[in-house]
Amino acid sequence: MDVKKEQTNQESSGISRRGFLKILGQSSVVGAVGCGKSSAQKIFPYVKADEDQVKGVAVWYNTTCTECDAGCGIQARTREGRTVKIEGNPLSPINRGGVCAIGHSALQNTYDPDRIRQPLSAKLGEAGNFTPTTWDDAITKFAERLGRKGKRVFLGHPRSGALAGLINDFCGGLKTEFVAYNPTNTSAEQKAAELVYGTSGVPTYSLEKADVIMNFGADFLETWMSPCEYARGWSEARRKDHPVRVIHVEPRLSLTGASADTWLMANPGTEARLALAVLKLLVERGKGSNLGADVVSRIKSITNDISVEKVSAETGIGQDKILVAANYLFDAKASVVLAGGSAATTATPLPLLVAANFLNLVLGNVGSTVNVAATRNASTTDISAVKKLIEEMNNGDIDTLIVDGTNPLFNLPSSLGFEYGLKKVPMIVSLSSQIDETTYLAQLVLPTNTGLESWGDSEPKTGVFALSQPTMKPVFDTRSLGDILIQTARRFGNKEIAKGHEDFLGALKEHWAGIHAKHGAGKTFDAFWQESLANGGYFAAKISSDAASVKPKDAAFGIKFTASKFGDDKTASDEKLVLMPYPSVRSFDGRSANRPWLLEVPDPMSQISWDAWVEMHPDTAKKHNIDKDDVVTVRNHYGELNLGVVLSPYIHPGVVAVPIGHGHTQYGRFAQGNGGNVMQLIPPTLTEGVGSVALMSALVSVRRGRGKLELVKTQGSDSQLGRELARVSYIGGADAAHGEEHGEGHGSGHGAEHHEAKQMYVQRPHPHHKWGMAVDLAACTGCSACVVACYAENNIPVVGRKTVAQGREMSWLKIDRYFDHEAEELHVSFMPMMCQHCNNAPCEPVCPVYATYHNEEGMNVMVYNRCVGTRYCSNNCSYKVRRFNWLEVDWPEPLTWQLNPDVTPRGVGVMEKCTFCIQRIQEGKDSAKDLGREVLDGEIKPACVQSCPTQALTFGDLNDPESAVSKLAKSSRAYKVLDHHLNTQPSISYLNDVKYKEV
Amino acid sequence: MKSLFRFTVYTLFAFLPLLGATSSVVAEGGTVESSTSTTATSSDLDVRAGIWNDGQAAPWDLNIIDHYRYSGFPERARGYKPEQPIPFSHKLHVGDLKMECQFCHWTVTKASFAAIPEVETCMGCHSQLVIKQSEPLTKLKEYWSNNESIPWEKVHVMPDHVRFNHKRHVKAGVSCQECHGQIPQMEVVERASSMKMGWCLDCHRQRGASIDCWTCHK
Repeated sequence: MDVKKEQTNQESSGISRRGFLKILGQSSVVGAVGCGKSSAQKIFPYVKADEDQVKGVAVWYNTTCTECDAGCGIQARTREGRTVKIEGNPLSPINRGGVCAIGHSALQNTYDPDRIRQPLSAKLGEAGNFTPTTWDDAITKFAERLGRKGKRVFLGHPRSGALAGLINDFCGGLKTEFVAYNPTNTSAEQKAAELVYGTSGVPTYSLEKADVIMNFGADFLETWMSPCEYARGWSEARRKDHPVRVIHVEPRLSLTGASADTWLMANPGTEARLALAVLKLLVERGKGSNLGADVVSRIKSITNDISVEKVSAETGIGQDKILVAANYLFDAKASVVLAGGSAATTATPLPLLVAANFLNLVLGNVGSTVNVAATRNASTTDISAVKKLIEEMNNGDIDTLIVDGTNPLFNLPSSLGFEYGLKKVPMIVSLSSQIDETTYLAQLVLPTNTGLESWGDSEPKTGVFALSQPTMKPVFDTRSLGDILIQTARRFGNKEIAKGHEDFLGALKEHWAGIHAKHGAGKTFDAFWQESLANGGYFAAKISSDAASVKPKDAAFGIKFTASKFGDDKTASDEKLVLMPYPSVRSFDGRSANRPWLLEVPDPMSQISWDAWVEMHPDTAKKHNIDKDDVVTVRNHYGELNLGVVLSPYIHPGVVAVPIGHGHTQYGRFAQGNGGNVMQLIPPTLTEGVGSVALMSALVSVRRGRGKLELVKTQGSDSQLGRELARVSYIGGADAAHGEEHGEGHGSGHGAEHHEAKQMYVQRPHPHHKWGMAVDLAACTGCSACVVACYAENNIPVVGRKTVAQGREMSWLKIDRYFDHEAEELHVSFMPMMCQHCNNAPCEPVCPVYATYHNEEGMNVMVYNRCVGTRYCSNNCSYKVRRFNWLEVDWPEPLTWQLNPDVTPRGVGVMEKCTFCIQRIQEGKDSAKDLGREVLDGEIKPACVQSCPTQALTFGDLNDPESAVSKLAKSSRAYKVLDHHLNTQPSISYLNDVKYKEV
Repeated sequence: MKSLFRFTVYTLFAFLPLLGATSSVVAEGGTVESSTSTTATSSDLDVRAGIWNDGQAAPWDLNIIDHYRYSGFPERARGYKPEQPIPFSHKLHVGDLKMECQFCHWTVTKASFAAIPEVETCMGCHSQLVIKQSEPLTKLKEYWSNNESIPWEKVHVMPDHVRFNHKRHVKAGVSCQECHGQIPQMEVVERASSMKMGWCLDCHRQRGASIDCWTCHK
C-alpha cells in the first residue's frame, strides 16, 4: 500500500514537472484490486478550468499526417490531453475521410518507448555512448558549430511550406549547404511529366472517371504517391454500373495488381516496350489525331521499330493480350495510363514513364482523367548531390553534418559508402525523434517532436494547403524542428532568420499570411487562420486542367526506348535473378519499423507477421533446390541477405522480391534484428536521366542457406476449399450469365430458405435497433487500415512473434487472403473477417457462465468480467474470430498513453472479439439523446468503417429499411458467409467481388 | 480469523449457483450478513430464477449482501469515509449555505464524469468572498499558489469495466442524493450506497431503463 502511494506521489510530481497537470486533470491512478490490497484511488482535479477539456469528453483536432508526402488530412482524438486515436479528415480533398495503416500507427511513433527523451551528446569516437544533456547546452553546442570555418551540410528531407522556407533561411543565413534526400522520392515520375506535359510536379489522376486503367507497376493502392486518394478514386470507378477495368503490368503481383482484372507479367525491364507496342497500335488506329500532325508523326517515329510479335517475345506476354489491352484502351470513353513504383526505379526508368505519358496524351486523357494543372508537388532527390557529399566526407572536408528527418545509413544503398564517409565527420548533429542508424553515430542529438506534436504545413498538391497543429504537448523533453533551428540561429547571433520571429508558429503564420492574401478574400487573417485550423488546412476549389497547353519537349522523343538492363560490371555469372525491392504498406521505407501494430498486422499478400522474407516463384525455388521453410541466401557483389522464403505463383520466375524497411540494427526494441536490409544488395547505379537511386537494377543469386526458418503466417490455408467464403462474379466472358446467377443464387435467396426453416434458437425481438454491417469485397483492397484502426480503438494487445506463431494473435478483425477461384488466371480475394454477430450464434449456448449473449440491438456481446475462460465459445465459433488472452499484456510506457479510456483492457484468461465498437454506438446514441432525436444513418461508424480509404465497409441499423446498410444487405450481390451451410444468420452481409474476365 | 471468514463467504458464493440458487440459500446468506443493512428484495429472487443469458444479473452480482465490508475492501463498502487532504465540509457548503451541487460539479451535465471541481473553482469564491482565514483555507491557497492539484481521496470507486454516465442519469431526472446519499448533512463525504451491480439493476428495473450488460459494462 505504501509503495502504491509512493508511486502515486511520484506520478503526480512527474506530471506537474512537465507542466502536464492542467491538461491531465483528474487522472486517477488505479490501485491494485485484490484481496487484502487497497483499492483506494486518488483524484487529481485540474488546477485551472478549461472549457475544452472536460474529463470524459473527447476533443478532436484536425491536422495533417506527416508519415509520407501524400498529405492526408487527419483528425486526432484526444482524451484528457492525450491523443488516443487518428482518423481521416472527411474535409480533406486528398483522403476524404480514409486513412492508411501507417497513418494510424503515427500514434505508436509518438508514444514509442524507444523515442529519444531528451537532448543527448556523445564524444567523438564513442558512438552510441550518449549522455543526456540540457536543451540549453545542446543548442549552445549546435550554435558553436555554426561559427566554425569548416564546411557544413544540412542533409534533410525535402519539405514544403513554412518549414522549407525556414530551412532555406537557416542554410542561406548560416552558410550551410542543403542536400535533399528522400528515399521514397518521385523524381523519375516528375522528370517524365516535365518532359511530356511540361509540368513541374507529377500530374494528379482522377481514377473515378476512368473506364479502363492500364497500370505499369504503380502501386497506387499501397504506397505510390497518394494511396488513400487514389484508392478512393479507384473504388468509385469500381462501383460504377460499368466498373473500371484494370490491367496491371508488373513482374510481381502487388496489392494493386491483386485487385486488378488482368495481370500481365512482363519480363522485368521490358514494360517500356509493351507501352510502346500499345502506343503504336493506338496511333495506327487513329488515336491522337487531336494532337496535331507534328506530334503524331514524332510519336510514330519512336514506335517505328516496334512490332507486336517482337514485343511479345521480349516481354513474354502473348500477342493476343497486347492486342486486347490496346483494344480496351481504344474503346474506353475515359482511361488512365499510370506508370511508377518499382518500374520507375530501374536503371533507365524514363522510356517507360515517358511512353505511358504519351499514351495518356494520344488517348486524350489529359484534361479529363489526367490533371496537369493540379500537380503533386514532387519530392525530388538528386543522389548526385548525396554522392558528392559522400566524397567530401571521405576527403575529410565536412566539419559538421546536420541530418534531419532522414536515415541515409539505413535507406541509402550501402554500396554508395555513406557509412565510411560518415565516420570521418567530426561532428554529426541529428535532428530526429528516434535513435536510428544515422543518429546512433551522431555526437549531438536534438530530439524533435513528431508530427502530432508540432506546428507545420505543406502543399502536397496544387491548391491544397494542409495545416498541422499540435494535438498534444510533447510526450518527452523534445522540441519542434522549426523551433530548434530558430533558437540555434538566435543563439549564434542571427536574429534575421524566420523573418525575425522567435518561434516557428510566428514564421508559420507569416507564411499563411501569404496564402491569406491570395485566397482569403473578404476575411480577416484571424478568421482565415482559425477556419483553416478548424478544417485542417485551406482547400481551394478544384483546378481543372487544359489539354491544349500540353506540348511534349524535344527531349522526350530523344530518349532511347529500350528495355532496362540489370546488373553492372560487378555482376558474377551466376547472378541471374532480378532483385525487386519494394516499399510495402507496413514497412514502407523503414521509418515505421518500430511500431508494434504494423509488425503484428500481417502483410496482406503474404499474410506474414513480424518476419522479413524474400518472395520467389516455386519454379525458381525448385531450380535452386529451395524448400518452403528454408533460409535463403540472396547475394551479389555488394552483400548478402539471409531470409525466410515465400513461394508465390504471383511473381515472375526471373525475379526475387524483398520488401524494403526490414533489418534495422538500431531504431528500437521492436525493429531490431528482423531479417536483413535489402539496401545492402543495391549497386551504386543511378537512374539514367533522373539521378535517383536505381533500386531495381541489381542481379542476385539465391541458394539454400543454413538452417530452417518457418515464417510466422497468420493464415493456415490459401484456399477456401470450396466453401464459397469470398465470392466473385465475372462480367463478360463466356459464362457471364452464370456469374450473375451466382451472385443471386448465393445471396439473399439462400438466407431466406433458412429463415423459414425451423429455428433451433429463440428468435429475439429487436425493438429499437438491429446493428449490422455490409462489406463490399469489390472495394476491399486488403490494405489493412481497418485492422490497425481496430487495434487502436479497442486496445487490442500486440503479442509478439512467438505468440503469433502459436496462432494466438489478438486481432478482432483480420484480412483473409485467398488465392483460388475456379479456372481463372488472376484470382486473389481479400476478405475482412470479424465477428459476424450471428442471430443464431453458436458461441452463445456453450458459454457456461453466460458471458456471451445476444443483446436486444442484434449484437453478440461479450461481458469480460463474467468470462471465466473456458474457450468453449471460441471452439464453437464457425468463423474463428474469437480471441483468448493467453498472456497478461505488457504495454511498455508510454505506449499505455494511447489506450482508449472508453474500452477496458482485458486481462489474462478472458475471451474477446469484435464489439462493433460498442463504445462508439453508445456515444452516438448518447449525443443523439442530448439533441432529442434518433440516431441518424451513418452517424455511428465503428473504427474500421471510419478508416476504410475505399469505403468498402458500411455500418448501420438494419431495422431502418432506408439505411445504407439495409439497402446493401438487400442488394443482389449480398450474401452471408457460411449461412447457407450453418444457418448462423450473421448481421454482416458481404457483397461479392465483381471482376472482368481475363483478356 | 478474518481470512477464514472471508474464505467462508467466498466459498458460499461459489456454490450458490450449484445449489440451484434456491431462496433458502439466499436466506441463509442473508442471515450470515445480517449485521449489515441489506437491501435484498423479493425481486432479486425472481431475477435469479430467470434467464441469466438475457443480460440479467447472476447471483454473485446481486445486492444481497455487501460482502466488500468483510473481505478487505473497505473502499468499496458503504460507509467508506476516507480522510481528505483538505477537510472540505459539504454540510457547510451544501447544507448551510445552500449551494447547488452543479455550481462546483459543473461537468455533471456535460460528461460521464461529475468531475471534482478545479482548484480555480474553490479559489473563485475563497479569494474574494470569504475573508475568514482558517487552516484548511491556507492549505487550499498553498495548492493554488504552487499550481498544484489537490490529491483528493476517491470515495466512489468504480471498477474499470464499468461505464457509468453521470450526464445520462442527471438528464433522466435522477437526483444526486439517490446514489450519493444525504450529502447536505455530511461533514465528511462517505459512500452511502454499495454501488454493486444488483443495486444499479434494482433502479434500472424500477424505471424501465436498459438492463443490457453492455449498457454499463465495457
